[in-house]
Amino acid sequence: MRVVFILTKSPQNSGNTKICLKNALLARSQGYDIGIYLLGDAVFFAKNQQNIANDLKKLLASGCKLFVRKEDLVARGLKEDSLIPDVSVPSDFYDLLITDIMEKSERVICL
Amino acid sequence: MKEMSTTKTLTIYLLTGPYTSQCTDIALDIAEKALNKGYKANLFLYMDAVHVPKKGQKTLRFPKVEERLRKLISIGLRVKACVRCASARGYVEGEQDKETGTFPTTQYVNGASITSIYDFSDWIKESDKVITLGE
Repeated sequence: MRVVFILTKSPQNSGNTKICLKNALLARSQGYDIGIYLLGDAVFFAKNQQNIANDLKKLLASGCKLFVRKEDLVARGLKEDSLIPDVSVPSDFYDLLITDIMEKSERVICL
Repeated sequence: MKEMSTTKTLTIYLLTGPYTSQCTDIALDIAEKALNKGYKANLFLYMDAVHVPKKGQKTLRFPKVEERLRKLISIGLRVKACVRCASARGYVEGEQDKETGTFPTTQYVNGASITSIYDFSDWIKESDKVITLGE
């Protein structure tokens, strides 16, 4: 089963990031396929060198895919080289997101 | 019961009003992409999101949500607002139309209607996926 997480809020102002990480790691350990999409202030989630970075790296190493919306990075002055390695910044973010939501995933969780 | 159609439906449940966070823009971006990819798209407005279809929005720098909403309605987006939330914010101007189930307002753009929250549960049943944005 594939589960998609959509995050829109900053990890600094929301406990949702930790909920997402905890559940994604747990789901991954049980064999679920996981995709995480970051929009708006949630793009800070992918920033390297923060306290959640190690858990995030662990999640990516387990095969989870993390997608970040480029326009939201640029709007917040973040550069791609400031992100955790292996994070994807696709040019067709919404195209991937809609296809994932409508065709690939069985569950979508918005946090 | 799911509609007998090959076209899949996405319903977006929006809880935040325009210009306070990026959620409205994200909701409209997602709806636009879904419609452009050939899916049906619904937008149900709850709490402060009922301000989204208000006519006459004037912004200095932000893109006008009203204009985007009109464009998306013209290409097939279905928009409904919760009657309790809309009434609390002064949008409901009379009694329910028994035929359509909608409540009258002159303040919304054409194509957006005020209805019971139970219409949202009908949309959930009809939809292949439902996503929630806002808080």
